[in-house]
Amino acid sequence: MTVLASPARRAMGATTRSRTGALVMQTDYVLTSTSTWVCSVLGVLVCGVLATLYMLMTARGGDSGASNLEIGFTATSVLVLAAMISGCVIGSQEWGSGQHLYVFTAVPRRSALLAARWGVVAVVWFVTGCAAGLVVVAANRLLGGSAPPATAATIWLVAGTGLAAAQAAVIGVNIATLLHSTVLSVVATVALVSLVPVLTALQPGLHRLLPTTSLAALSSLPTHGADGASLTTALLVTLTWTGLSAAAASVRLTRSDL
Amino acid sequence: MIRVRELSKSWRGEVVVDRVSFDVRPGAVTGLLGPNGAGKTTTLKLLLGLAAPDSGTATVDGRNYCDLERATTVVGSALDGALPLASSSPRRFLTMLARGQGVARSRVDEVIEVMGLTSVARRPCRRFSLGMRKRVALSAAILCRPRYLVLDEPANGMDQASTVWLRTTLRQLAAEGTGILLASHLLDEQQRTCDQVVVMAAGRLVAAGPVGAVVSRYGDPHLEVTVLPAETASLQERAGSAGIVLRPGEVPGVLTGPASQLTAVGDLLGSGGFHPRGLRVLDGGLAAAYENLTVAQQQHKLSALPQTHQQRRP
Repeated sequence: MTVLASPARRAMGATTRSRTGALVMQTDYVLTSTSTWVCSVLGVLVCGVLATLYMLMTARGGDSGASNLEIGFTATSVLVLAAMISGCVIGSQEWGSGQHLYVFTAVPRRSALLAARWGVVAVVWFVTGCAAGLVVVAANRLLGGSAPPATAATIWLVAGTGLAAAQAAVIGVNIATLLHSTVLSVVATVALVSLVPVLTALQPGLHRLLPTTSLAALSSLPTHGADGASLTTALLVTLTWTGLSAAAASVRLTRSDL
Repeated sequence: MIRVRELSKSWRGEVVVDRVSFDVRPGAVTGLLGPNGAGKTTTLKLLLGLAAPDSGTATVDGRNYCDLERATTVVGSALDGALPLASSSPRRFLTMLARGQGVARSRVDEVIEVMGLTSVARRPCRRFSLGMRKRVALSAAILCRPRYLVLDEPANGMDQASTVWLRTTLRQLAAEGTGILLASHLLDEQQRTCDQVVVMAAGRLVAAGPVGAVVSRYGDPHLEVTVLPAETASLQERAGSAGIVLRPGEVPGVLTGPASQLTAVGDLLGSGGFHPRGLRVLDGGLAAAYENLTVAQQQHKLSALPQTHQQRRP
């Protein structure tokens, strides 16, 4: 039974990786979470299908190829919603089972753990968002017809979609960290994505400042012929929402008793 | 050494841990006893940095838990209610913890084998009984070969064979030098497993010391009287008016009191028209000590609650 605790083996088993411990654990946790894969695959598929349908419909209507890239708010919003829900599940599922007690005793510095989670989730969803952007571009090439977009616009579409998805996922993690409940955070997210924009539709100024509107705008702005100023505004709005939710989640996590 | 000094914690204005002090020595099993709501789990959470104390300190080898480098190599813990994700398998869960702590993957296999989880290592935890989940929790606690173990109700849901296995394992760990803090309601097991005990009631420490010393000081023999459940209240009332102390036990119809009252209780049963089903004197032990130490404290705490709150309690 010396396998359990002998000091000599202790020294052998534990190596010095405490600094990267949180990051390694979170990478494992996020990449082995079913919600990550389900939401990613569904998000990309639905985004691609919606974009393709949109292009087919506009092609029948005789629109030009350039406007086919206007997957606009519908397709990107689906991806944003998938990213946020995935973030919600990642950020809250441990609280339901009690696994958070292991995680926070293994990594007592909660802010480090949360930062690691943000990092991993952001990278995963940036890649997913870029994949979705590439699907849209590929669909446009195949179906779009005469006017392929400029290289810069294509790059922005791909990168902007990735950026929007990454920020949406981080916001989802933050909502879940604030609420500590998968059900509540998913309900709050769905309300934020689908209900709040409807309620604020009559106030264009307010509507533009919503996180979901700005996130969707990030990947569709170039195709709308938007200028640099509105692009910057959308980026600032999304970063502000991400930062505010991150600060709130961080305060909630570090100052509350578990 | 784990050193807890004057530890206090209030939640929503209620004191749940009140100036508690005790030590956990390496190579010894320290039992933490107390009824529900005594503050045991809160004390463990304060020790593990999961909650912040209002005052006092809890240190491990002189440092706060949150300041420990690779904390799980110093203190392994399994709190009650801490379970892996239902969809996760023991292997996946332990691998995640091991990678995060820089522990070799071979150690996961070792722990799975030692904990008797080999045949279920790849099954999702949602299919496990509570006893099996407790094994997974204990596996996570010992994964990094910690110098101390903090366990909260590790035997909950375990069958007798598993309980014996757990006792043997903990004694083995202690023999290898691990300091163990073991919170549990299973008094018989605590008496067999622990070297020393810390007894809490209503947030306060009411006794601490070697098991033998606590038992000899507080574990007087006591009597147990069994009547029809419907007669419990009237017997208690009649006993009270005759100056006899009888407390209702956990089973309906069973009351307990000091063994010195045996004759008086016998007379009362004979003259009072009761229908006694049993009257016996039980040996003193940790259970008796625990009862003597905690029942009065808990009753005092309950009597301090508003009446409506008391009525809602089962």
